[in-house]
Amino acid sequence: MTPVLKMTHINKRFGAGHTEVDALTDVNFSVEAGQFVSIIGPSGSGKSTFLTIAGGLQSPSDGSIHINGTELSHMNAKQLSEVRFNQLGFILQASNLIPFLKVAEQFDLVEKLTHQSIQARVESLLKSLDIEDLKQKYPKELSGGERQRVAIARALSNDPSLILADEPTASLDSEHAYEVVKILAREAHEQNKAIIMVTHDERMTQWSDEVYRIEDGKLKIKED
Amino acid sequence: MYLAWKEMRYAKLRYALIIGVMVLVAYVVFMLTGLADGLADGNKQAVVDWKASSVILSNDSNKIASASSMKQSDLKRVSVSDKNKAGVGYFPTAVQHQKKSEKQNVSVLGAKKSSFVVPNVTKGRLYQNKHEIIISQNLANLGYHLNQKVKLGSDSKLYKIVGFSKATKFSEVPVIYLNLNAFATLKYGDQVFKNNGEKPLSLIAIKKQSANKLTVSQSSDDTKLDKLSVNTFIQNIPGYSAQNVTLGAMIGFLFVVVAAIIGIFMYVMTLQKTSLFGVMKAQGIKTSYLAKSIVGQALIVGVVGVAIAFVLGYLTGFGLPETMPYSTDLGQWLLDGIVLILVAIIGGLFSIRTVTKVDPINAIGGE
Ligand SMILES: Nc1ncnc2c1ncn2[C@@H]1O[C@H](COP(=O)(O)OP(=O)(O)O)[C@@H](O)[C@H]1O
Ligand SMILES: [Mg+2]
Repeated sequence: MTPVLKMTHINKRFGAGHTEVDALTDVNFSVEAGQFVSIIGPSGSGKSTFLTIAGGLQSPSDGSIHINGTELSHMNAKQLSEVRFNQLGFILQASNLIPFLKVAEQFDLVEKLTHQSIQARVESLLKSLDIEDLKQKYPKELSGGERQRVAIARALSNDPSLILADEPTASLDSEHAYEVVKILAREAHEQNKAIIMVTHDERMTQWSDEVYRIEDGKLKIKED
Repeated sequence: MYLAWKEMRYAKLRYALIIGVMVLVAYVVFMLTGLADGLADGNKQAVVDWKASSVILSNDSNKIASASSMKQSDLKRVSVSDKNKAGVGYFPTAVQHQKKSEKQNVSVLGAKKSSFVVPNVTKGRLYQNKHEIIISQNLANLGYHLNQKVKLGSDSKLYKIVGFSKATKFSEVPVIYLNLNAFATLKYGDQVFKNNGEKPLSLIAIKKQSANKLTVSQSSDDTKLDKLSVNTFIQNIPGYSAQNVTLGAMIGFLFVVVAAIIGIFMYVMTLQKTSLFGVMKAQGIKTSYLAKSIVGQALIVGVVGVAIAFVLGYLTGFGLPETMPYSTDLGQWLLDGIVLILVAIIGGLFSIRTVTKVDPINAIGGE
């Protein structure tokens, strides 16, 4: 089976000479459909750099990235944008919802942009995330936990194969944080999605199928 | 457009304010246009009413009717059939009620009652002799009526109003028509002329013959005559071009103001949304979609603002006093409106560069 995301021998350097920083060093990583993977590391260890490279938002200094078997390095900005729209979902630390759209309209926008009906899919997502009653609310009227659940539904709405979550629990209290992580694990397994979650909080990794540790730009499987 | 509308609905107050500003500026543009058209009409209307194609003035007049002077016999020098040429006398003066002291400025036009420049009489009848006149309806509205006797200029004899013609103006004042003998008396007093051919005219109006196709005979002792198109004649009415250029420049300046206002507003709105745009780009929403929605908003602000101002300007036209020169030229307003909307869109285009420069990478890891 082709992995959903495969990164091989990735290096990422910023600056040159005295100011050179190795943000990622020889990172090898792959994730398959149905897998929920956590990456844990302290601040400055390279987590965000890893996610932006995995999501095609910046290119690595060396190495290659394949999403569903397609190499990203030869794509232009427009093609990368299409890959992100069709195959990737982002869940960000704070809200990635559009403040002036009601919950239901966030999905209407996706539908308008894909030119295909996602209503049935959205209905079942909203039901399974228990946010059906929030459809007519604006993001600012939601609690932090509700907002992240809507963001998860938004990320899954156009049926991507890969979800990248950047510290999705950072702005939540632990009870709501657990709930969000459990939902991510469940969606990965039930919907057969590859989900990568980056966090600095050890407690959030307990529902993951695999846990990686990143330190000074080096990625290793975490041994307990 | 979906995003554009939804955001405007959400931030109602902000967009209502910018639409309000758009309405005000568009309204001023329409008012200035109305004023410019009103002034222009007031200056030239009587000449436009003639439906003439060209005008002949004396060469020493420098293309100005009030300074032009020739003789009735000069009519014969123009190679056009009698019904297509008309000798006209022009004399700016004041009219006065027989018993009141207040005066009203008027443009007196003298012409043979059968000539094509004499307007249709809407009430009463044409003048039949030297001391009968017809007045334009806008003068009648100031308190003059049929069979009334009025004083004209410095002539001690009274003139009787025998007819009205439709409202019109020349040189911004109402118009009186009378015959050429009356014109001669008004202009030259009791001076005696050897024969009718020696009596004065100010200009000759020509129908159905363009100025460059006219032939005017010229011998050494004849007055030198100039042929002009009606358009050139109108452009040379004192004050006419200066007025148009001044008001036109003000309107042009307002177009620039609109571009600046909409440009600055959309730019500030865009700056406030840079992090949101970063997130949306990370999600794979195309820059072109975001740019379209900004330009779409500028378009909506422009169209709604212009539409409201259009209605306001139209209603204003009914509320203005007769003495204010104002004319609602819907064709001209439509043109103004289109330019205003285009200019609003140009304002919106300024922000596109900013949207293009937003890097989606900032959406991630922004601690
Ligand atoms: N654009 C950049 N320019 C220079 N250095 C950068 C840039 N982005 C990240 N870095 C550096 O790379 C390292 C990893 O950063 P980052 O991926 O943001 O870590 P984390 O998300 O784990 O906190 C840090 O030392 C950071 O200073
Ligand atoms: Mg980070």
